[in-house]
Amino acid sequence: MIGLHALTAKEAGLVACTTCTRVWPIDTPSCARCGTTLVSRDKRSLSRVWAWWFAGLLAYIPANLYPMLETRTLLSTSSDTIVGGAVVLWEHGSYGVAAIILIASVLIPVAKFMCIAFLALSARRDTDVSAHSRHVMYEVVEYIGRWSMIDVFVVAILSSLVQLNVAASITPGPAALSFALSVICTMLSAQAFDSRMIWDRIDMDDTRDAPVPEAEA
Amino acid sequence: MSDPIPPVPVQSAQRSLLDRVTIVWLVPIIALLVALAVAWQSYSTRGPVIEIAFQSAAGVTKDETEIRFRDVAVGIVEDIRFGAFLDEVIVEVRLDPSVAPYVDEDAQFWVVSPEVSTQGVSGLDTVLSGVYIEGLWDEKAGPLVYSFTGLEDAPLLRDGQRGLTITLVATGGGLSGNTPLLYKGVEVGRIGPAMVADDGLSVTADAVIYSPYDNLVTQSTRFWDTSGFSVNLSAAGASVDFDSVASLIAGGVTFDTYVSGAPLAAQGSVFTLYPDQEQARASVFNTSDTQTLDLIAIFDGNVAGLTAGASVEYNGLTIGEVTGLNGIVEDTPAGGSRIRLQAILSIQPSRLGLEVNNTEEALAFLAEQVEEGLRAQLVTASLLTGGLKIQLTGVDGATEAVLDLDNRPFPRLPTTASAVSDVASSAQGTLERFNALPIDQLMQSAISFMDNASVLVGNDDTRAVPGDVRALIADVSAVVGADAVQALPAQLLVIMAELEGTVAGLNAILADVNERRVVASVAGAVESAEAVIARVDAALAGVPELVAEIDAVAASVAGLPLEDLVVEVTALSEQARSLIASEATQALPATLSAVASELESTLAQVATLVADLNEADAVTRLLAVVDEAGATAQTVSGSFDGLPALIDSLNQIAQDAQGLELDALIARVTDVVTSADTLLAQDTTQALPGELNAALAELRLILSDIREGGAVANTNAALQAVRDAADQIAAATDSLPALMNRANTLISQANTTLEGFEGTSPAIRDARDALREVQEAADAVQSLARALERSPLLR
Repeated sequence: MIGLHALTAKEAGLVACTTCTRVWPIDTPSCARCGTTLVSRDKRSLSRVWAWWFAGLLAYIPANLYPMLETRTLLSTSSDTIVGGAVVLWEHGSYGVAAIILIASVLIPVAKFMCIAFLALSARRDTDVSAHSRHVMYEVVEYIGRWSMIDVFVVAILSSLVQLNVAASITPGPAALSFALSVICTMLSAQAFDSRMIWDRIDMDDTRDAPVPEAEA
Repeated sequence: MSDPIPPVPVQSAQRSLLDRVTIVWLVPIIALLVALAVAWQSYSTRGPVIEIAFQSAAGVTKDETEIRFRDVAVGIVEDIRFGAFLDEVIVEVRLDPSVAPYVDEDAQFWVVSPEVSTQGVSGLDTVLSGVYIEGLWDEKAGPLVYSFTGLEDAPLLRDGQRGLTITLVATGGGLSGNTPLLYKGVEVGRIGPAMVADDGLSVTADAVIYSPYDNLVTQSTRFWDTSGFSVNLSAAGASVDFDSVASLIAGGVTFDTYVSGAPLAAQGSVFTLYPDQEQARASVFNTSDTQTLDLIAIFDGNVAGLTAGASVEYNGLTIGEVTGLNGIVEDTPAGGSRIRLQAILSIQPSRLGLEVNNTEEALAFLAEQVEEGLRAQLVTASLLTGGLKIQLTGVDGATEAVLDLDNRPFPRLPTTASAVSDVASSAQGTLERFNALPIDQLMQSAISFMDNASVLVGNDDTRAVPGDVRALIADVSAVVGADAVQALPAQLLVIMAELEGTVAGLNAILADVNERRVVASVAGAVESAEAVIARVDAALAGVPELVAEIDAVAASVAGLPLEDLVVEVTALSEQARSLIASEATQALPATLSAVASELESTLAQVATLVADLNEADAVTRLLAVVDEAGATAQTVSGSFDGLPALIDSLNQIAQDAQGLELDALIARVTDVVTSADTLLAQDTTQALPGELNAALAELRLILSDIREGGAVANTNAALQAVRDAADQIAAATDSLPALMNRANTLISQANTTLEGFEGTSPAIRDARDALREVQEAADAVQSLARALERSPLLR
């Protein structure tokens, strides 16, 4: 039951402090160095991941349906959704900007949802993806998640800069708030994931042929 | 790696649900609830969708175009699509639920877009915001209707306006749609788009008159077109008519109600649109509801210019028109027959303020008026065109006549002489009479008269008169330079005041003349002109006789012995000049002035002397001296009392002289001049000023002595000297009246002489002024004598 080259701290009867990385015996209640409560495996991690994931998904729906920007000029008022704005930009030939918007506001959030869901599912189930790959995936998701806020920043800056009263004004639409909430929720969701769970199943990877006990935490 | 591993406590996999579910799950649950609530909220407050069908949907944009009610957005266009068979555009509008109950079957919708027309600019806000759909519905809720047909144009009554909706029908064109409906220049309504009626013969247009102006429209109201302008040349003269510049460009319709009392027009009434005001007005009286009264008037003489349609006026008020003209054969009292003009007058009794449908009453009224002198008369309506009209006017002292009620076909109105003036023929007659005047004879007579006059004037003696007279005037003016003459302006002021009074009287007379009606009318003016011309004619006929008379006068004037007279006058002037120029006369004023000053200074001394005398015993003696001086003064005064009477008599003589015949006058003037000559030539006259001067000089010396020896001790001697002086003065003044008498005689004679000339030559005028100044001088001398008389020194 013990993989020689994949010995976990848990298996070694130890627990590492997630804050200062001091290793303690597994039953140590709190880190004597920094005072962090020591938990070998967060039992509710996956539950929180899924909760934030669903909240982010709910917020992502209006973020795409409602207009992101409301642009009022002297003659007209236009409001564009995220995808609609990107399409308009694409039609006007601003392929680069359109691509950035599409990647930052559509591709990355959607990919994040899928990655987090995959990671959360793979913590419980077998997968062909190696634990290392999944860890890289987790690192990437956690790193890149903040960049989804680029669209919100654009809206915030434009709204504060373009306030020319009658001539032109830009105000954030309801989608801006929804999108920001969605990004925040997915970031919290990614953070809630206890990455140590990736490694709990390595032995199972290695002993794929062997029967595996279901209970795991 | 084979160290013993401590046993790891393994927990049970079966945990309670609470353990498995974290608090974080509240977040998605709340988010879900909020989303559901928002969805429900937006769904439940959503209004209904209605469909409006338009012919075209220019400018209507999905999700942008609003639907407005009273300029408030109450919905938005959700979709635009074609109807079946592509024959219309269907606009789907999401209505605000607050107005949805009111959008019932009465609702109207139209597209408001910017419009620039001659009426102005409308819908300007839609230039920026884009078009919008305007909705109009009443305030009563009704069952919701989901399908409407949009209007092409805005309805006439909008935004809660109320008013009267009518239909205008024009047969002759001129009905232009979308124009304002004006009443006295104020827009009180609008006309909708015009369209050709189904019968293809007329144009109809809906129109609306806004409340409260709808009260102006009754069943007898007439509408007419005011667009464009009309030029009318008729018996009443030329007129150019247009309503306003705006309606000139854009067209317009106005209306008026000529007959009062008709009930108000009902909604949807149909009115005829007349091309112009004349026809509209005429139509009122052509209608059967105003019964006309037909009369006949028969006129003598030339009636060229009277046409059917000419107005019939009663004291200037048009009460009808001439509807027919024809000749009528009439038997003359002499036995023959003649053709006279018969005019049929159609009179509207309502114009006279009589009851509309009661012709009996109107006839009775007219019959009464005719008995009081009412007659029909042809008068000139327009001097320009020579058009005629018929005037019913009261004629004073007209021959007895009655309204012939039995005449057929209509009652006959008596007529009076026409007051038609023909300017052209009158002017021509005047010119002809001018032509016939004996201008040549007149000129001949005038030339001969001028010749005679020039012979007279060309005489050398006549020419010498002004020079002599002027020299005389120069001398006289030197004499009258004295202060007394300065009183002349005061007299002039009195004369001016009298003149002003006279002018004021003249002004009053002129004002009186002005108040009279000089020219009452053009016809009157023409009559006056004719009369004047006739008089000028008559006057001109007498011109040759006048010329002959003037000729005779000139001849007699030429025959007068003027030359002798002129010689005499010259001699007289010379004499008068030498008299006045004598040094003694010139020195007289200066001496008088010196005497006066001496008297003044002496007076002061005497005053002190008298004060001393009061204390001394000399008073009684002084009283005696004073009595004597008083007697002397009485004498002097008495000698002057005769002067005014003398002057009056002289004036009388002058007036008599003016009334004399010229020949006699000339003869008398010659005598006068001769006698004046003789008088002036006498040595005594010449010496008179010298004597007076010497007396005054002596007086002056005495006064000097008085002053120099003015001691109290010498009072007696002084008083004696004073008495002597008084005696001397008395002696001198005794001779003054004689001098005055002579001078006055001379002056009056010379005055008479000069008045005999009655000329306007400046020399003669100057001479007369000089004589007046001599008189002034005499007055001055008189006042000097009076002053001497009153002088305390002599008392």
